[in-house]
Amino acid sequence: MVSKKVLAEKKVEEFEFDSKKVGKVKYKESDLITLASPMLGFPDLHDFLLLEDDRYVPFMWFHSVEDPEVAFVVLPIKTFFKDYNPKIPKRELKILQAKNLDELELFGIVVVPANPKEATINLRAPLVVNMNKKIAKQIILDDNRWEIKTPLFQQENTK
Amino acid sequence: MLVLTRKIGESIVIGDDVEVKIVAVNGKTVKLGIEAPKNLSVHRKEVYEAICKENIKASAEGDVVNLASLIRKSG
Repeated sequence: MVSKKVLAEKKVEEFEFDSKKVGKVKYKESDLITLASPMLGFPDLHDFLLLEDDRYVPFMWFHSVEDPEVAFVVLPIKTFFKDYNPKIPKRELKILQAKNLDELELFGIVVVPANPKEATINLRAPLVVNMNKKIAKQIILDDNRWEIKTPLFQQENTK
Repeated sequence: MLVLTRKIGESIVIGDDVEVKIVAVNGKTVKLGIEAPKNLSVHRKEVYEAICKENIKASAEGDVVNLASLIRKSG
């Protein structure tokens, strides 16, 4: 069932692609989030979408638009790690066109193994997003308080 | 790999915008000073490689719906 959305005053073009992970994805150009620098390991991908759904909330997909097979499970870090307060260098704030940390959302990239209880989140290199300007960057922190493989579930036991 | 020998205080210039200086040598440890444009990131190799590896692992198949229900139960 294909429908073209036509707004009263002007036509807003909708794009779509088939994702291996989430099926059909529809988006407008204004939905796109652009990486200031590519994700390490994925040098050719720059345009992504942040996808939400009740089926996997609180997680979201950070999904490539250029390669429909590439997508990352991400989690807004503050929802589970209330003490997370990394120092983001001023130069990175500038790159993300933000005046301060309040304008940015920090997401952790999640590794989901066969046993989901062993899932880990990368707190050492958060995906930092300026939601208003639709710019993002994975920032490697110079701080070894936070680990690349932080368990998602052990956290619950230490509360 | 290009291998050059430098003394303390000497530098290497890469391209037009990057300089690496030997700041100090202490036994087997070398302290390097790096000047690079702001748009270039500089990282210890092992951290860089670990992040790269982790990103690639993260992009592989995983049951996020199952994970989500688990975390909602425990939250």
